[in-house]
Amino acid sequence: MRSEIVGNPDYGELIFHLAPGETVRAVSGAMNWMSTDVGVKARLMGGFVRSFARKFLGGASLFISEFRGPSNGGQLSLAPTLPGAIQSVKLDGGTFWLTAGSFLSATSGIDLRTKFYGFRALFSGKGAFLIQASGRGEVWFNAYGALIERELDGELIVDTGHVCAFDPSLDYKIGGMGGLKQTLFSGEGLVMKFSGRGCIYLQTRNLGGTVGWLSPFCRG
Amino acid sequence: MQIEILSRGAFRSALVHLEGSDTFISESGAMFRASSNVDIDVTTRTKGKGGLLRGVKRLLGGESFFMSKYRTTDGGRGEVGLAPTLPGEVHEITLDGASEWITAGGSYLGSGGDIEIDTQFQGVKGFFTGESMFFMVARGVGPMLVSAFGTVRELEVDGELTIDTSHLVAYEGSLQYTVGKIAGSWVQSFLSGEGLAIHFQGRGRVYVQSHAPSEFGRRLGPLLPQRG
Repeated sequence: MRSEIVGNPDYGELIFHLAPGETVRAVSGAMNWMSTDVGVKARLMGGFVRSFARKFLGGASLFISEFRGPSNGGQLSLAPTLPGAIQSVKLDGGTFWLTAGSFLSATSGIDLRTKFYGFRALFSGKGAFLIQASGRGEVWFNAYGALIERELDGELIVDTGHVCAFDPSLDYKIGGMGGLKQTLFSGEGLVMKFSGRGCIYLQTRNLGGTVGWLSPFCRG
Repeated sequence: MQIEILSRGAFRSALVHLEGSDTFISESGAMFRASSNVDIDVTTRTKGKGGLLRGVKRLLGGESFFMSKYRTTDGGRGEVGLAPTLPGEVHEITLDGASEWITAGGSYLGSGGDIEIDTQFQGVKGFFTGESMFFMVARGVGPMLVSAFGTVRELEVDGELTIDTSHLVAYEGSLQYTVGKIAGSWVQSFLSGEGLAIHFQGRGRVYVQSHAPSEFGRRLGPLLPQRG
């Protein structure tokens, strides 16, 4: 499987050169352009019940698209909805967690599941579901803005809505920043306190911020 | 006439250098700087016939009713800076007169005075592209500017190519297209979230943008306060 990420960090785009019969999966609606004879199929991610639960609780799409290289090979270009960077991780039997809007694509050896992450995750501003990627292969994810990779050994406080992906070896709690006064007036609101050892990927913008800034300008 | 594309990366603009009797036309509101000897005329027509009707058709094509026409008042050198609304690249396409170019989804930014700009009814298939029933058509010889949301990529089609409708910027008139399903079946097409796509056939160039303005709008829209 040959792939390239172009346009980083402003406008990341992922281009695959698919060999005959090779498949990749992508978040629904991500196709930008492709060779006409690339095969496309919609698939449920992580089974029927989980998919529906995710749809109604998390608002994410029920389906992911599967693309298959045609007999003479083909190209496929994918892009996320929001402008920003794309990055990948390679898994060799390990597990990786992505927040709902960050998943872009995965090779066929990767098992994708939706994972209910408890009610505390509801406060994370990202919905109560994470996408769990496991197996062998490569996973691509995207950020709104640039991606910051942080190798953590200890603790890190992250604004909710800025988390893209992290190793499952990390644990997090939802809490305020400092005391009640700081939580209410620092403009940070709730934060996620990560702890443990592992890698975490953060995005430098969040859509909630953009929406908050734009809203006062929307007049009837 | 010479055109410079300024800045690299996400926020490009174009600087058009006019000389002598050169004229340049852009969509209204695109100019952000001009030398003091540049005169702006507001018109509904480009080269050739037409007028009000062309303006109306342009509106239907997602472009502006009026066009701005720039020329120098003293026949000397002058410059006009043009910038699109969305962050992204600006790209120059050189028309050699051999084939016309069609721009979609509001990506037309401007063109040399010798280029005729018209709108072309796309029929029902245009409606199904989700973009517009009308595309802009450019004919003649000279430079044309297109803008994009994100980066622009030139794809050489020799045979077939499938493009998500909202990623189309411009294509060469030598290409034919149909609008249709992307997967094997209609149900699969809609479940995959792709819906309809444009299938190009023939030989020619297509410009695509890395990101889709309409998808970005649909993501942002529901989060904004309700109008009225």
